[in-house]
Amino acid sequence: MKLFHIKNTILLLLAGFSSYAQQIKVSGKVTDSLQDPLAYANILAIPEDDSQGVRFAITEDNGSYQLGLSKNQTYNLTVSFLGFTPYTKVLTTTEENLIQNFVLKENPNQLDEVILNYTPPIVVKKDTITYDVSRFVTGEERKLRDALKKLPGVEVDRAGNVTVQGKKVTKVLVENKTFFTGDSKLAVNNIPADAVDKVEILDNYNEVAMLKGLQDNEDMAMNIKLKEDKKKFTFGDLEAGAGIKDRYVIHPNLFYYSPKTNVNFIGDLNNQGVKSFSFRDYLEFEGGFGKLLSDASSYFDLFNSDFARYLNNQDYTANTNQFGALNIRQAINKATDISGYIISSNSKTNTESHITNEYLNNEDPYFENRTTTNNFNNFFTIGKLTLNYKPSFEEDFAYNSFIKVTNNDSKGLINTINPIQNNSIATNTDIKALNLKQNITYSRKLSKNHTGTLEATYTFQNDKPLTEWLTNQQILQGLIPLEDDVIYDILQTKRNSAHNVNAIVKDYWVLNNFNHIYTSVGVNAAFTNFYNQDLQQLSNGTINNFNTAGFGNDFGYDFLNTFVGLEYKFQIGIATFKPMLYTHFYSWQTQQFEEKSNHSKALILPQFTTKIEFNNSEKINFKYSLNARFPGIEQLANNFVLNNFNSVYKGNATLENQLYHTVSLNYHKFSLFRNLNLNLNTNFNKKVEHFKNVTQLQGIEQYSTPVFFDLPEHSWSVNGAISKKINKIRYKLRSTFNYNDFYQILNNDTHLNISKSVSSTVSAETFFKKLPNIEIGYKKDFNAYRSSNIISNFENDNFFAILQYDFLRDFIFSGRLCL
Amino acid sequence: MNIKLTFLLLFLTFIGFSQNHENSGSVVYKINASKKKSDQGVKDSNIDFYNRTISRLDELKYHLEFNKEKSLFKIENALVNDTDKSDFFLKSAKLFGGEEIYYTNLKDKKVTIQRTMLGEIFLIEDAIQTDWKLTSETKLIANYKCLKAEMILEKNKIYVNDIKIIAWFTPEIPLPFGPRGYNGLPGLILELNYGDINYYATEIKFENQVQISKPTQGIKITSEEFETYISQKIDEYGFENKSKN
Repeated sequence: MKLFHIKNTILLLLAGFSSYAQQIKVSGKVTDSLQDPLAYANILAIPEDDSQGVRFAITEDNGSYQLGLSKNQTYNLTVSFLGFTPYTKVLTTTEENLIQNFVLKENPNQLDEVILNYTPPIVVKKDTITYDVSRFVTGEERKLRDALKKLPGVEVDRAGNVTVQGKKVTKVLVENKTFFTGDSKLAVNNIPADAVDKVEILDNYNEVAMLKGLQDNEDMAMNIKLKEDKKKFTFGDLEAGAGIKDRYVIHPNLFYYSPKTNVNFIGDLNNQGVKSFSFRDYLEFEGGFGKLLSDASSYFDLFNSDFARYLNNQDYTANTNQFGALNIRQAINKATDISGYIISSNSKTNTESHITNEYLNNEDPYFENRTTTNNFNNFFTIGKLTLNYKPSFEEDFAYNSFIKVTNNDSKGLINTINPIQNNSIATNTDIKALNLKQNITYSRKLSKNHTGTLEATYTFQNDKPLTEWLTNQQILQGLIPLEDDVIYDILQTKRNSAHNVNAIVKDYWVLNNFNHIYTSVGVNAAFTNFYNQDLQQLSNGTINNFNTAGFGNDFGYDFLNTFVGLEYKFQIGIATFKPMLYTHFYSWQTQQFEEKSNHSKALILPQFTTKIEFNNSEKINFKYSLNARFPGIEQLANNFVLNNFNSVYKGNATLENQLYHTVSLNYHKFSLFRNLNLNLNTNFNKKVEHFKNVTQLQGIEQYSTPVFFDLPEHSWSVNGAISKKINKIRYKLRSTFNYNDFYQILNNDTHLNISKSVSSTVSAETFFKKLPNIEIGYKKDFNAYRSSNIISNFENDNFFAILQYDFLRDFIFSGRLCL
Repeated sequence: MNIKLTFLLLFLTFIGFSQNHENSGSVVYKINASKKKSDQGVKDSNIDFYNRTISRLDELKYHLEFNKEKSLFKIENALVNDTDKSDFFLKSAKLFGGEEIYYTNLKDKKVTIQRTMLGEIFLIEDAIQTDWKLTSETKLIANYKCLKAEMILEKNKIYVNDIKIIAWFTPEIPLPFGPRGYNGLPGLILELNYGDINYYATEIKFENQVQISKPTQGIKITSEEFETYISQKIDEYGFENKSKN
């Protein structure tokens, strides 16, 4: 192929040469009938002999032109200029150069508008090199890697990286579909050699169209075509190890492949605190990064989910993991895909914490030292089923079903040392929870200017926490009616269940390029129940139920919110504005045992956003919104609940909604060219109507209940960061400022607390490719806190250095120093 | 009365033409591109991504404004629809089709490209590409007879592969302009194949006296310098990241 290319070029060169050698020049002027020159007029020469090339010239500013034609040929010459009648002439060249002047006549019949009904046909292109594997193999090859090594121009290294003609294969497809993660190592070490029929190398395979312009591209993909009778296979690996102090690890990873079904099982059994299942694997289970990219919010939802946090959590004193994950993808037909996964985990974790609390509520502040140790046993199973149906690009339907079952129990010991009492409390908790979520999204382009979307979600949640406190001293005297005993055994049963239905229908109407109107109608309904029973189990077997002292809820809360929203989005120059108005109608019912109460309310909540886009990487965003938030059921349930060994809580059924304003302004500039990154953000929050816990504190024991509160509270934050890289060093400056004022109601006193803090960090970081990299920096904090009559200020200085050094290719040394 | 007026108008335009030979107006281009095969069975999310991007190309419109010696080619500015998820693919489609502004001056024989890259606006100045190779191939585009001209954009520091450019121009509309700064052919380019992307004219309007001004915002740079800078940055960032992964 290369050879052919060179030959062709030589041929072309020769051809060019020969024709050039036999050329004559035709020159002259093109003018109108008044002898004024016509600039940029066209002269097109079409030869009668097809083997000669078409020639053309465009006149200069002064109407002159030069046209190179072959000798002794006949050409059809056309001279044309818009607004003039084209002039045609048959010209036969000789051996001599020619001078030809043209006069064009004005054409009064002018076009003023042309509509072309034409769309170029779309072709499917591929740059492909295909190897017929059977021609190269001997039959002794076991895995794909052995077969690939036999192919000319293909190299496979020990790890399983494949290069073709010097370019690295970045993606492996089997039968045109990404093979699991697409990682070449997985494919070359596992696909049986005798199943491979053909290997196609797709050059210039662009994963992301966006990058096409930037790097056009060294990406190569390898597509493996399987033999007709060998389209299904299973493979896997097993990692097992044992080490000092009874440490062990077993990590099987199994795959089943067939063109329509992909199954992947990952297991993990270890007591090293290592989680073999990474967030990356989790992403892959969710359909891969590419799919999630289309919806940034779902990526962040996933990233912030408690399962992802569990994957990233590394704080423990001892850890045992038992883990299994199964992922299945099944194609039903061209437009429909089902994928699902199930993950089960059982882990044991030990944690320990030491906390010192300072109580500043009265004239003589005091300290409490608290040590908490916990032994957690976490079991959970999560399962997800996704159905995607996409018959065309105008229509999109997705159904998701998610289920999570958790069973967590923990045994803990709390040790508190404070001026009033020194006490040890043993705790046992057992939480059983079920979480079920079903979600439908459907969007459809209704017409050229209208798109409709429907989204509906149903969630069901059922939590059953059981808690037991054991102590040999009286706790919460006067709040709970404890009867004397050797060991005080307090038992709490809670049940929390919620059905939640949300549905929203939205119409996106594009009026024209600069005006859009979006209308939406939606409903949120929540039906929740809260039950608690707190009691003392006496050693003689009798039960002392606290409901005689006002404990125990059986509370129902039904909430309905219907809303209508109108958004108008428009653009003026580089600025986009979007005022929004949402009208909500709320109605809710609370019920404690037999006692019912109904409420309703309407609220108009405006929002406003502005975005100024100077260019792709310099933007200003402004946002304002008025928000309402309704209380959760535990804030409403108006009987006592034991919250902890030292606190009792009681809800307030008369609470309505909180109301607060939020304003934010962000400026962002980023230039890779100047190696500059600049960020400025400010947020302001004003609560106008809110809830406030009224707390009675005695020693370390407290009782609190929320009340409606309408003195305004504010919070304000400003933060900024600038970084600039000069040569191999990046300099950074980061500053934040926070201001907060809030009220505290403690022992019948209402006081205003104000906290202010400023923090700044300067740092420099090196970016060497081979040398060790170091980051050094200095951080300074100022904090001021004012609470009634106590003012405290403190400062903090922090110097840090981080060193990182990659050596011997596979080792990384990293060190951290803080002062 | 009516006839009189029309006559007067005709006369006026006639005078306008003969005085200035002012050939000005605008052309609307739309784009499409070849799709990748999305085979039966479990869908490849990357091919899906690519095809979803391609399917949004029909929402884009490009405008070519021209007068006697200048032309300006750019994407039509439009507000992005809030249909949440689709926003991303439209952005990707815009990048695919190009968001650069091309200004051509036939008198100076220069093309100026205003291009945002790596967070900075550049004004790249280049000579008009004239190395068109005309072939004898013809085709009809909406009843206009078009001739085929070809050019190869040779690979450079940024583009690892050669890009083949095919222009279908019609001598019946003798305007030396076309999309993406491709000019200098004896006829308006009605279709341009730039690699996998096709630009095709859908609407031509002739007007008097279209004013065209050169974009001025941005860092002035030659195309060679631009290539060098970009390839340096790709080295600096792209490969650093790759080696880490």
